[in-house]
Amino acid sequence: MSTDSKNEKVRGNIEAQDQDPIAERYETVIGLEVHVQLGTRTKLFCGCENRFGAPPNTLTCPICSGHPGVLPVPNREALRLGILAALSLDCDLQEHCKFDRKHYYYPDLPKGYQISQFDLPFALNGGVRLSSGKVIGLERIHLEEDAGKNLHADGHSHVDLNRAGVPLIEIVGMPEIRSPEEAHDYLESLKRSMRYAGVSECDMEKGSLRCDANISLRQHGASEFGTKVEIKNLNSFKKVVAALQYERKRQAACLDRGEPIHQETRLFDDASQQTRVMRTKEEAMDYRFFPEPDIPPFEISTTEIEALRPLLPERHWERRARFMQEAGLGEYDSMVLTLEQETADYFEAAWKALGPSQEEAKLTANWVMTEVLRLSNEKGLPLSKLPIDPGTLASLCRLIQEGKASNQAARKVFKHMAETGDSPEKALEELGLAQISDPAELEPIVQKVIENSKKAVKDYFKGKKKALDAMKGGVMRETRGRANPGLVSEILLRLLENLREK
Amino acid sequence: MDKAELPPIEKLARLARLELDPGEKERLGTQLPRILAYFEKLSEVDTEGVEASPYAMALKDRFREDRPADPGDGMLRGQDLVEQNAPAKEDGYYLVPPVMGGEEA
Repeated sequence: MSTDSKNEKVRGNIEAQDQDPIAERYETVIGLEVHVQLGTRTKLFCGCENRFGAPPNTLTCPICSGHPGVLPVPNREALRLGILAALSLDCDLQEHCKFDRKHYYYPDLPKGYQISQFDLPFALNGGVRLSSGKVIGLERIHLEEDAGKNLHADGHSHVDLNRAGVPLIEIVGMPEIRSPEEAHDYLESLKRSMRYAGVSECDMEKGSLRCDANISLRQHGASEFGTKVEIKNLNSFKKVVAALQYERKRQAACLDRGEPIHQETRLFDDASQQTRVMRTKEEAMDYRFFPEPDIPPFEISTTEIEALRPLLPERHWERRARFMQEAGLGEYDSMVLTLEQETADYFEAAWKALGPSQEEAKLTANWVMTEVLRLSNEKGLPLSKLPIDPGTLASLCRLIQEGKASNQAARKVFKHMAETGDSPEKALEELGLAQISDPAELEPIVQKVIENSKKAVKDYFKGKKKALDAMKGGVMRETRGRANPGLVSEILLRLLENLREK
Repeated sequence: MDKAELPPIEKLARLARLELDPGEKERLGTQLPRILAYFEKLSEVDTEGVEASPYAMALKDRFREDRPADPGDGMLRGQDLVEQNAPAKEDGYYLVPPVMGGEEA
């Protein structure tokens, strides 16, 4: 599970652009390029391990270190995961594909070129669905190898090639995003699709999802795009939004003053929360693409695609819609429950075990969103490894439903179960919290409280409703909070009416 | 490529990370167009109806399984590569002249 605060993210999406003076003057046009590391065991073109966090330069060989005379051979699993990713975004898989060399010089790229895909990427078209239902089109997805890492320190740079050659897909979006907030929503949806498809962890802290953004402004109704600026170094969703917000303001101010926007690449600076020029159009790279002669072209067959398609789970937005419709959950609850596939699976399993009704769905959803997710965070365990499985949660919910445990008691039982692994019934018994829902057991207690509350009874007959609460409180004290509150009210009212008739 | 399309020598030098003194610029500036002109001869070959072929062999779909390489295959790996090949190293890293900014994949 990601460590990001999910609730915060969801609320961020909903924030509207009310009273936004820039939006009145200009339309914002954003396109994102997202790199996703594929979760293979080994690198894209050699048998070195694809693993984060190993000591520097320990996961390397002559192939990923760019030694002369070596032969890169593509990893079949990387292509398989790429196809799954593309299918989950409704892309058109391409029958004829090839790899190309993209040349640039930087120490993290020891060959002097990156093996990528230029004019025959493996997937075209497709789209990313925002929470509003709007779909942002994709231009393409291609496979390529990651570069190494440079660490800049006093007068030198240190190069670690563990990451060099790790398989990536680059997902190139169309310039159809219209605000920094939509960009955030796009990234959230894309990340969820990748995680649901099981192709990547998409952990930005580990660099397994990275993003470059293109942004321009134009007059409303204009048919041509404005001059775009590319922003790099965006290693969290928050930074993407902050950089785009800053850049949007900067460009609007330029245009207001009648100054031209320069086509350039800018870097986001974390400390100042601003972007600064990295290179101008004149310095743009000439990548000298040409086909990678060492790797023969490859084909993706319909048979292969159709064999992979059934492996994809229900899409996150479909599942969210179903939770709203079938389970009757609100938009926010459905969103939270579908952030991670395993949360949705856990909820659905517990709900099905409890019963089919929407009431049962709501009860289950509340427990999953509060106690279950909290326990998972506290223990640092995925939901599948929790001591309380969906079936057990359903049994606990049933105790609440049947009036055998109050909500408060059930929370204590939950904590006890998390520590001991006991069944809900046993935990309830052990904690002495079993709710008294037997009228035969409760009636004598209520009777006794009425007898000892002469003043309250008198007040009640005078029409003071509060007197009833006092007597209810009396029953709760007698039973140490275990009496079923609904049943207490019922018995209390009945016995009091009997008294009045006398 | 026509002579006219050849970018200025300064740009080529920058792209190739080469520092050229005025004499070298002068010399390469006259040599490069000649080298290109030499390659122009290839254009004189009649390739009408011949398909472009970047590959030496007519292979396709060559993949490997996602299995870690055999550590005993005799290939130099990991820190041994750094130890035996890097002109400069520190704490297991390759040490290179300072670079800032630059290109990411």
